[in-house]
Amino acid sequence: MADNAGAPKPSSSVKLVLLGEAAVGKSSLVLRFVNDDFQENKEPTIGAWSHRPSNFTLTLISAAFLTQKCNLPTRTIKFEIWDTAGQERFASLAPMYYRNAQSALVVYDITKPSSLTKAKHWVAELQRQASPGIVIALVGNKLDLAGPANEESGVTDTEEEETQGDEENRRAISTQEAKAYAEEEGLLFYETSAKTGENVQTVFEAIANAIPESTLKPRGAGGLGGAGRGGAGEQAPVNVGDASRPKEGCAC
Amino acid sequence: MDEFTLPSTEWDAVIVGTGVKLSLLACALSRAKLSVLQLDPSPHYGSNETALSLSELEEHIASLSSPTAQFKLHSTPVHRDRDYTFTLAPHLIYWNSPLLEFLRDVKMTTSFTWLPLGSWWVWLSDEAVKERGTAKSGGLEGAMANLAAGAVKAGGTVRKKAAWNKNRSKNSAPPVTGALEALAAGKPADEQPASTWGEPSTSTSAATLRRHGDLREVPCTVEDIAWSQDLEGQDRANLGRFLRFIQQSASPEPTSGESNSSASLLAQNADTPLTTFINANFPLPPATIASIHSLTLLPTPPSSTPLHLAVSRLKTHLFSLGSIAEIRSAAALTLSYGGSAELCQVWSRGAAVAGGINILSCDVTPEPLPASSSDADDRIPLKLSTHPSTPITAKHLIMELEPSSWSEESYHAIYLLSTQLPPLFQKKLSTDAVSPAAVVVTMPPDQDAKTGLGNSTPIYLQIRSSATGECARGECVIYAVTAEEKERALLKRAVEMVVEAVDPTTQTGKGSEKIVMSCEYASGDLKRVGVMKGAERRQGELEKVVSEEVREKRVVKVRPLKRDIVFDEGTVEECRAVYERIVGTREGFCEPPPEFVGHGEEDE
Repeated sequence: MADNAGAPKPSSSVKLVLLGEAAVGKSSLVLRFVNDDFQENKEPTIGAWSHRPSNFTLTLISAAFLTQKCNLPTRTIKFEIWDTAGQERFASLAPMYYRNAQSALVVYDITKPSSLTKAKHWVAELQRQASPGIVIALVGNKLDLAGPANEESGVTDTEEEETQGDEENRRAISTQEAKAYAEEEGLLFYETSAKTGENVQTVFEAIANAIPESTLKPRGAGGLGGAGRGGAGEQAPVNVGDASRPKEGCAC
Repeated sequence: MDEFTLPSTEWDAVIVGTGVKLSLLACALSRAKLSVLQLDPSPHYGSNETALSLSELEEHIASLSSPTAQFKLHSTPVHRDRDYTFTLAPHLIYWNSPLLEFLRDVKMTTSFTWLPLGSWWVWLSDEAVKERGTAKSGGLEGAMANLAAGAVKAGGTVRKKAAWNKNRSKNSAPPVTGALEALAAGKPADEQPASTWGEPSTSTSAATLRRHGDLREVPCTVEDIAWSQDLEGQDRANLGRFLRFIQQSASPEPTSGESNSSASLLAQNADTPLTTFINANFPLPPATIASIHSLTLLPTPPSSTPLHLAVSRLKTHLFSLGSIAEIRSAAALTLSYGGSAELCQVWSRGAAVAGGINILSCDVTPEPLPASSSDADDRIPLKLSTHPSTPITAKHLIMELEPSSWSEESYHAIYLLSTQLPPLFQKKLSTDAVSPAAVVVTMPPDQDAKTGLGNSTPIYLQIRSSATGECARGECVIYAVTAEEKERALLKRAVEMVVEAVDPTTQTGKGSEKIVMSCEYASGDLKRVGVMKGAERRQGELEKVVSEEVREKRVVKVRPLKRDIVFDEGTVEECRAVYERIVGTREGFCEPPPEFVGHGEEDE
């Protein structure tokens, strides 16, 4: 994420929503992406009021999302990353969560088969609720818990080989299985480790590259969510932030 | 997904409902680090202030099981179900409103997309405009007022600019206008300082009031009054005097002998009907009274609207006018994606981000704990429909008052139109940088204003463009409301009349062809569903399960949000009072905890 000084590149905001079963490492992935940091025993995003750590979840609220820039050769993408704040556990995500999302990260845990089932549920939910054309990335996290070099094993029953060979290998979902599903649904697919940082950057860059140029809005236009589908002429949101802001821009 | 276990069985606050007030409380209490569980029996956020897709609206109306609640598709919508967001709470929020002030204080304004609610229109036939009523015509004073109006029309841009800048000092209400005084006094405006009410358009941008057939723009600025072709000289003077009376009655400290008398005149006539008061003090024709009354958005006709209510609304309107930098002709705002429904979603999410839990499709019943449990001191034992085997307790139970407390009746309709009525959404002033995304059209009572509809109370139509994100491009949504049951049958005709008058592609008599969907319900119908449905039962159970003392201490009930066109301005104050009762202080209400501040904010 080195911010190379240079000629200014076009810059756009992209709303990205995070989905996945509890404890698959959604927040850790974002934390790795945003801060290049990993917390071994991060509190779950939900229900943490009793021993509220000053962790990244708490930084979400003021604007309801985290932001991180992603520099591509030709442009800069600013991700507005919307965590679920635990609302997905009780199926209580509001329409505002999906609205105008241009990208989604659906995360599962490669050591936990149920988490892929849940991931498929969320993909279906996104296809139903979100804007058509949303870029969805399916991400198998906790790659550090898989045995070495098993990711590329062939068509043979990988699970068997893995369990035989290496006690450390806790992989329960083969790369092939998830990849086949992703291809069928037209999803980007990566396996990552938030712990080691492996592939984390790659996922976000792949998403940034996959978003069609035509759907990118210039930064700041339309504020949150844009309301950009507007009809006649110059219907646009107004700024109410500060009643006493300077008025020098006014035309009178 | 319901198999998820709750992280706790003991909660500081269990909140039953996700409407505006309860969501605000959920957010505020979570941010104060209380453990908060917020539930709603319905599958949507917002309770009676919810926003729904097309199919969800159809289901919702069916669930009201009321013979008068109807949903009807007149043709097939061409867009996806999700492209529609119809709301039960299309409120408008004035610039000078406690809600906006509060949201600024807690740095929440950027969580919403704010759209301007622009021009205000009223239906008045030519015949109605000519009707003099008790107002006199002509006369010397009228001629002088016409002269003053001419001076305003020709008004010096330079002087206005100076006055404008001077008056932008923060927090100052726009002072009453010299031009207004000139109009009122029937003197040429030249001798007076310039106007600021309703941002002084420069003389080049001042335009005659627009009209489409009988649909006329409401005159509410000095220029409007000066330029209105529907006003005779004497009317200009009296309307100017009436507006000045409103402005002066607002000022708490008498700045002159006259402002004192305005305040006392208001106090003496607080309950006098608006029409009676105006006729006695500033005689105006019925059409002008109907026009000015339309800005109050009050459900009663001018002849039975108490003066103090009308003045309070007009004050808010006039003091908000001209404050929005991007569009000086607007006075109010609305939230995209469903008006106040958006408040519910953002605040509920705010509660979750601060550590609270939201569960939808979940009902709660007060129920004694199993004998094996330790005694629950004075906590309230509850059972959740989603977690029947895990009894919980709440230190505070927060819910809405029972439906029986909900006395005001109103009759609502929602229309989806296959036209966007572009003429209504054009900029009013050349200095406006953006155009309105919503407008209000009033059909005043027919006996005064001859709409031909036959209505005896005002019918209000709020027309929202696709810029709100609530419908697709090329469409618009109309929310209609009236206070009279017998007039609900007129709502559709009112919509057709507006379409026929405004839409260039619609011929007279063909307005109904543009209606894609129509839906009707009464406020009373809402008592039978969702969170209100179980309210009496929950109250009954509570009486069995906990003592009166505990109920007094631990059960908090908030008033249902007023089903008004304007956002219920008592909301923040009422929630603050509940917060104080629970947390023990009014300080820090809904303020982000220190660890939130400075993070996640927009950069630059």
